[in-house]
Amino acid sequence: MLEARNITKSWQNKAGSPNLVLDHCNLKLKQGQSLGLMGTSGSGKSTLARILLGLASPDIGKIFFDGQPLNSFNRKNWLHFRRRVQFISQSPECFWEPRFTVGKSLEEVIKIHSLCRKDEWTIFIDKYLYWVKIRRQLLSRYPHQLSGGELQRLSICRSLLLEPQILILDEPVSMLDVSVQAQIMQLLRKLKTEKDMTYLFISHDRTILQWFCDETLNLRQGKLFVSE
Amino acid sequence: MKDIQITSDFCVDHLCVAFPNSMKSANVLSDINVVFRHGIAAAVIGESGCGKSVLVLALLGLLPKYASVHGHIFYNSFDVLSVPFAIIQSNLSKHWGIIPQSPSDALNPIRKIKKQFDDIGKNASRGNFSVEELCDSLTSLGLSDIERILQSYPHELSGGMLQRILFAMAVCCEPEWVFADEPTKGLDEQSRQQVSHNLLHLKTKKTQSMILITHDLPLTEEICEVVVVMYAGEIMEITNSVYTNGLHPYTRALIAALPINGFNPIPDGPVKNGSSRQCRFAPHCAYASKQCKHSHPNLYSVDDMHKVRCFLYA
Repeated sequence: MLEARNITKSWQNKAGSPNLVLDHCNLKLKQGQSLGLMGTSGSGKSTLARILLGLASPDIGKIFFDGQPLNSFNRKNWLHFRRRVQFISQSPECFWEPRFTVGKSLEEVIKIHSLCRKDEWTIFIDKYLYWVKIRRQLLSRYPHQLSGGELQRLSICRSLLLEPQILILDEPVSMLDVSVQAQIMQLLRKLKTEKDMTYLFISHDRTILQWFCDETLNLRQGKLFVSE
Repeated sequence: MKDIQITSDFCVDHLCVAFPNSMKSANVLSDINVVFRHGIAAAVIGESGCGKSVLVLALLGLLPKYASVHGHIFYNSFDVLSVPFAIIQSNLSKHWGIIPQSPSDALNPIRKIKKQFDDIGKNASRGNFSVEELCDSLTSLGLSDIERILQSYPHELSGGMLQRILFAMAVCCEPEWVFADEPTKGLDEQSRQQVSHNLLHLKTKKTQSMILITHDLPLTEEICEVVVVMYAGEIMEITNSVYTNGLHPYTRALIAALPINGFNPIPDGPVKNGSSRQCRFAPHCAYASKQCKHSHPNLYSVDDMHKVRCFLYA
């Protein structure tokens, strides 16, 4: 489905010399798989996620989605890719338009991707709100009026509107307290079994990855290793 | 709390805090009674929105003016809630060191680190720090190349370095109390261990009086002698260990929600501060009886150090 081949990326440090973050990394996400990606802060986990999403380009190497390289995508391909591969971040508050109510932000997704007719928006959104256990009344609030857990569940809801095949989760529960963490992890597991979702789960917490993932890769000094 | 002694303990007496909003007043803390003893490291735990940060803001006299506050917080000879803020600043705040949650947001981005240490010294009326003093303090926290660090701006240093600088800033005026707000939130295992090590270092070498606000239950076990468990604006349990001595059904639900125990979520998730005529955890409690739904439990003593707000232990 989604494959990274020979990805190398370096950033310039303050002195102007290149700092190698990813060194010839290879990764393959198969349908229904939950792949964990572990590493310390600054090891390049989020950089690899951004490259997989086509939000940053590698110095060397290519990303393939269903066999087609991302760098050959036209506008239509990108729209299809964005529907199929969704991203959940560590800080949900940064990924919501602060001037819109969360309801309006959800409607934006439906509009951009023409998911249904305008008179069906409410029923369409309600179906996914049920999955993440969020009350419709919350949709009239602004992002700053919601808790971190509510916003994270709404982020998952926004992704689900597009019925994606792959969710790339970058530390989705590291900023949440234990009880909300448990709710989100149970929700993700339910989606995995009931919707056959494919996950790339980025975390620095070995216990979470062991509980959730089929296989875990460890990113150390720019290289990927299979974790024991 | 009839006999209030002049001590460096924080005695919280019938504290209630509410924030008025457009519709009605939202009760954030309800009848909090607890003593944080000098020389003891205590943790305040509970889910987001349970009122733990508001409790610590109240201890520091930092509640916003629009908050509706009842009750007392005694510290030395002062009632923190009734003395003017200028007196807190001049007489009390020098006894308190604060380690904030986010190192990158807590420092002034346009002042060098040394200048920021000097600002703290001036506020505490002790003047500028010498480089040697700061070298000792920062080296003991595992930093090297101190002179370069002191002449750097915050953006030139890593998150781990900034965290340790904030630890040093919190204790540079030798406070009686240290408050740490979620010191391990969002950190990887290596950084978390470093923070835990630094807190232990503070506790053994600098000050033993500490209040940690945290979601990190293993950290409370490593550092603290007392754990205060809060839920929906109330203290549910005061114990020495949530793992070995946690009795309240909510404390046990928190332990069950940990990754190591299989992420068992608390049923229906957190509730907002509810009715005072019933146990606030009753709607989610597996042990709730009729009594829990019709009357409100007190904080019952199990032993000298252990109190539980549950009819099971009445």
